[in-house]
Amino acid sequence: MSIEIKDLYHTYQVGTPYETHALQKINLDIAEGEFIGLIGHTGSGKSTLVQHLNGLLKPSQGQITIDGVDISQKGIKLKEIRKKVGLVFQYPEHQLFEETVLKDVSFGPQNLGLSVSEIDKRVRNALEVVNLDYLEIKDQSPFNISGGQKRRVAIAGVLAMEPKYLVLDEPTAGLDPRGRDEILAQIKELHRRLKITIILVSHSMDDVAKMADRLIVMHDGEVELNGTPREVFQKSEILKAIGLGVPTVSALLYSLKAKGFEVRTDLLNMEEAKEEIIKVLRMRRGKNA
Amino acid sequence: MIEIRNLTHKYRMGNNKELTAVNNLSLKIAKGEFVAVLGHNGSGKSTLAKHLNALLLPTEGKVIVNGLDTSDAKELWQIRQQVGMVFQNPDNQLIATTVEEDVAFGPENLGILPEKIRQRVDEALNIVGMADFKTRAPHLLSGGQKQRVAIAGIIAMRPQYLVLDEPTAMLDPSGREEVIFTIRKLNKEEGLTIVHITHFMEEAVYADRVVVMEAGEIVLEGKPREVFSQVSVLKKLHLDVPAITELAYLLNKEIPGFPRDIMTIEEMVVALCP
Ligand SMILES: Nc1ncnc2c1ncn2[C@@H]1O[C@H](COP(=O)(O)OP(=O)(O)O)[C@@H](O)[C@H]1O
Ligand SMILES: Nc1ncnc2c1ncn2[C@@H]1O[C@H](COP(=O)(O)OP(=O)(O)O)[C@@H](O)[C@H]1O
Ligand SMILES: [Mg+2]
Ligand SMILES: [Mg+2]
Repeated sequence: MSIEIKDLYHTYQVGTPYETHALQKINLDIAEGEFIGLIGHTGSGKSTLVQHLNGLLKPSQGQITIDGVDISQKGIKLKEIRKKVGLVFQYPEHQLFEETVLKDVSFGPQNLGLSVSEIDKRVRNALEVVNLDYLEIKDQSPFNISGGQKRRVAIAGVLAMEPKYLVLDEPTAGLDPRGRDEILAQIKELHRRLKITIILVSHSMDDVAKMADRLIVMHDGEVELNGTPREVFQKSEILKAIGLGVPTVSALLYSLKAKGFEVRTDLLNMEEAKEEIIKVLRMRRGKNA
Repeated sequence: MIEIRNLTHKYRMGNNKELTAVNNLSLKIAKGEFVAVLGHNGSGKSTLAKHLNALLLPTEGKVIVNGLDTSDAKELWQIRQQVGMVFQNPDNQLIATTVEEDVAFGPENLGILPEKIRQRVDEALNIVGMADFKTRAPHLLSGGQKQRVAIAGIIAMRPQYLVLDEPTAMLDPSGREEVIFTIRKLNKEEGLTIVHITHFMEEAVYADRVVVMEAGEIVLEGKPREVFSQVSVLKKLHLDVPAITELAYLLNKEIPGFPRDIMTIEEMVVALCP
């Protein structure tokens, strides 16, 4: 099963002087179990694209099919889509509104009309996944907890719907390093352990290089590049031209190579880079000896 | 100079509970210095920053700005003029309908003559590179541009110290670069003293001095090179290390004597290709 996007266009404020073509001829397939990193400069259309995946925005043109169901057709029940596709917004904590964390996280599953015991089970699970202590947090007001905790409560609210596809729009923006590492580790776990398909919108090339199986690079409302992190980060010229960087490791390897230090440039993490550098140093020493 | 002497700040919570946010902290910030403050959420950075222009007053200890005691109500006006603050969310800082009106707001409040105000606004917008946007509406600008306008609004009041509390936290990478470029320029070319609170270690690399806070206290302090080479200490504090410093640390474990205090790609290239 999969998500298929065919010839998707989205235009905001049609017929006004502010008309914006936010998405144009987008064609993408996302298979179950994938971990996708969605990157692009601000304004490139990432948020517009992901809001189509759970029916929050309707295509101006084109089609989105989720597990074989065309969600843009008339009469489709949004509830059915949102059971499958969970969307965590940018700054999701702005959407917390209930008096207690428990009520907030229960809100989604309650709307699905589940039994009380099923709701309870899901809420406990969801809070556990985001590393919050159920008993400690459940009666607290979502407004009195720390920023990192708020973010996790908002994510738990989406997880409690038990989606098959989880879309996160810049989930670590504004968090401190600890908060960021925790959220990223939890997302990794969701993918690894529960096999949830992940679509992660991010500005951090270092993060997506570490985590994603495939990268989709947006530019001006279109898909500019689509491939594994290794493939995409080899195209540093294109990335630079559209205002994006490469991961720190790639940037270092490129600079070394330019200075005649013959390293591979398609490595993505520090451990690999270290091994490669040591290999080259040994070779050089061998030659000199 | 700003002198923080044995500063303790306690917040009073409901039912007589107290929370010590800054605990017996001492620090001197010299004129012209660029100080970066790191530490994870809740470590007391914002509480400390708000003492520098008397938005908060010490529970114990003293904060002295150019010889003026922030606890002395008579000096409040002077102190606020000398120490400007920029906050995280640019949307909460811009209020007027055009960029120039927004920047004029501060100097107007200082009672400066209209023609002087015009001059200061133009100058401030030039410095932050936003002169071409002066008749635009602030809410239509990008995050980085908004933050630069907020900075212009502060420097139009001609402060000597600029305190920035996570000014880049909500920005994308290009917005962050714009703001960092502006801050460095203010420090280098205009001689402003900078106190920059950030979660991005790559930004702290540019500082003259890095101060790391934990539980209301300073736990590490020194030149960026000295502080960042303490990879294991920083990791224990759940803070990041610049990615390149981490690589230097890994290389040092395998190649005895490999320098551990490397912070940037350029330095790493020099170390490997002498
Ligand atoms: N509600 C809206 N009304 C009009 N234009 C919008 C709206 N939301 C986004 N846009 C415009 O659509 C384009 C894509 O925006 P967005 O999808 O938010 O990009 P990203 O998430 O990559 O930053 C931008 O030009 C943006 O200004
Ligand atoms: N207005 C306040 N009332 C009560 N406690 C506060 C207030 N502001 C901050 N605190 C508490 O003081 C401590 C330090 O907070 P803060 O200075 O904001 O840290 P940082 O800026 O490093 O995240 C935290 O435990 C925080 O919850
Ligand atoms: Mg977005
Ligand atoms: Mg703070």
